[in-house]
Amino acid sequence: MKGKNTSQYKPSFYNLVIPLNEEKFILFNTLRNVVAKIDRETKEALETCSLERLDNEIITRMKETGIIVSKNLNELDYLKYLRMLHLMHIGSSPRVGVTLVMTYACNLACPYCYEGNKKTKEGLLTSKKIETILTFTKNHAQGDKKPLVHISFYGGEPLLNWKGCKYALKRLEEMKDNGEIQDYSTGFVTNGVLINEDVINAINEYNVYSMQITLDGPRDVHDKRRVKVNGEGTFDEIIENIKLLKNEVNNEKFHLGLRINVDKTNYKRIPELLDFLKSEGLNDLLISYGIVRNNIPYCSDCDALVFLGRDLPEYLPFLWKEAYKRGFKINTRPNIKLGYCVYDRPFGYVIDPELKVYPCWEMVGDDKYCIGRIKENGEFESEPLYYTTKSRNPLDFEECKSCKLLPICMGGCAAESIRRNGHPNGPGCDINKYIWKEGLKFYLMKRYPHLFKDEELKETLGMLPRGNNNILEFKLQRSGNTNGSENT
Amino acid sequence: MEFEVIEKGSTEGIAGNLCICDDLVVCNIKIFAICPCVEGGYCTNYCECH
Repeated sequence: MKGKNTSQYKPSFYNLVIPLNEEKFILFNTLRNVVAKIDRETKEALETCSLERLDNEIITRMKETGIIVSKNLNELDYLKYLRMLHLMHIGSSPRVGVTLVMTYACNLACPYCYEGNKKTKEGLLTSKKIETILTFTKNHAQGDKKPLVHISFYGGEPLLNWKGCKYALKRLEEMKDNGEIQDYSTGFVTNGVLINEDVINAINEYNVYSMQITLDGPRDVHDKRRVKVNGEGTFDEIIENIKLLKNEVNNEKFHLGLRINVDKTNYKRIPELLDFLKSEGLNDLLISYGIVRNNIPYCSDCDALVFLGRDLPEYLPFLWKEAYKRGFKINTRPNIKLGYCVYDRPFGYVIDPELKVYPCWEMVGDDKYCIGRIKENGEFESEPLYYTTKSRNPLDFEECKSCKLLPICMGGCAAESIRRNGHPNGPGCDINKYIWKEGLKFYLMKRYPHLFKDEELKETLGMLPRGNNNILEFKLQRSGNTNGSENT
Repeated sequence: MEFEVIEKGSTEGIAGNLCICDDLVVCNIKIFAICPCVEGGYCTNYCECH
């Protein structure tokens, strides 16, 4: 039976469509995070707002999944409501996210580092200063509710101040045991050169849940980009340390991520790196490709070297494929996010060795972005800019309000907005703007290969997907109708 | 006429398993996004990290 009483509904503004073939399409609703398969007839009914052409059963399911919504619903208000819930959740738990710039110093001198000459800044986060910061985090308690604390160890190179890192870990554990905080988690962003048994022991002993290490290509490429201050390469040391982590870490919650920074000068060589890692039995890592951007200090002519947004659909799927077919994990699915990053996150702080507070990793050390400082007694002294940064709201940006990708981008990067717009309160669109279609399709091909032809799978993934657990799971879901979906 | 839900999202508010536990999600351009589902386990987003 065709749809009746459809006049009170409209297609969601956040519906996006990718062709599967001439007659079949993937429908992705960014607001509800729903993925569906539709045919041309359904697609046209949605695109022309001719809902009366749809079967009643389909209309019911589209209502359930937010593909069609009440004509009276302002979906932007709905997104505002979700974001409000999200912010309330952070505030009421309360959740405190602190990035500690353990030192600005770095043992490497990578040419593309966006910290530039900040690395010559002196100072360490000493035990005394860390104690001050921990008092500050502890002070976020809401009545009886003690804070949940996440610490990211960052730099410079954080392991140059290992003494400080270890002190922080030990004290966080004590604070948890004493009931001063609910719990804590930590992660490291490190170049991987200084990892040793002491670091491994700390990972096993404390709540260290993540570590990101960077490799930029096979040995000769990496050793030109990730160089020590004296010009020496670092590839072999880092590989040994990754093996050390793999073999000796027994903390089940720990995840090692491999960051590969790519631009036009090194992307063709990445498959060689992946081959090498595979040959060393290191192809079970989660890979993320970092897109080197033209925000490098002292580089006025980098456009020819870096990938611009419009370049990404051409290059990034190639890199995904090369990783996937060698067994690496790679995450490409665009997902709803209600906050973009630490910049506008309540209780999110980046704190440097002078106890100055910055809103974002990219802005550390730049006084014009300082949003406050931690006083010796652990109190926070804010600058007026603090309130400007923490109230950044992409749902107020005109360009974002009319963007179907807003739920999966959430306004993007404030630093990118400064580069583009001259101020942070505008769109700083992330890579999803350019690559969401390819990313979603790549993900679907891995997880639901039955939706695609074998030739297409081989071309995009480089192989037929491994295993069929997901297909089985999908079939079980369908037979149990947990998704409320089946072919009509 | 076809409408087959492949992945059902969930943004029906907290009770509907909306993922709001993004503590560990930091800028996914400058650092890999660590799965936000680590702690609560109540996220129905389709993160591939784990």
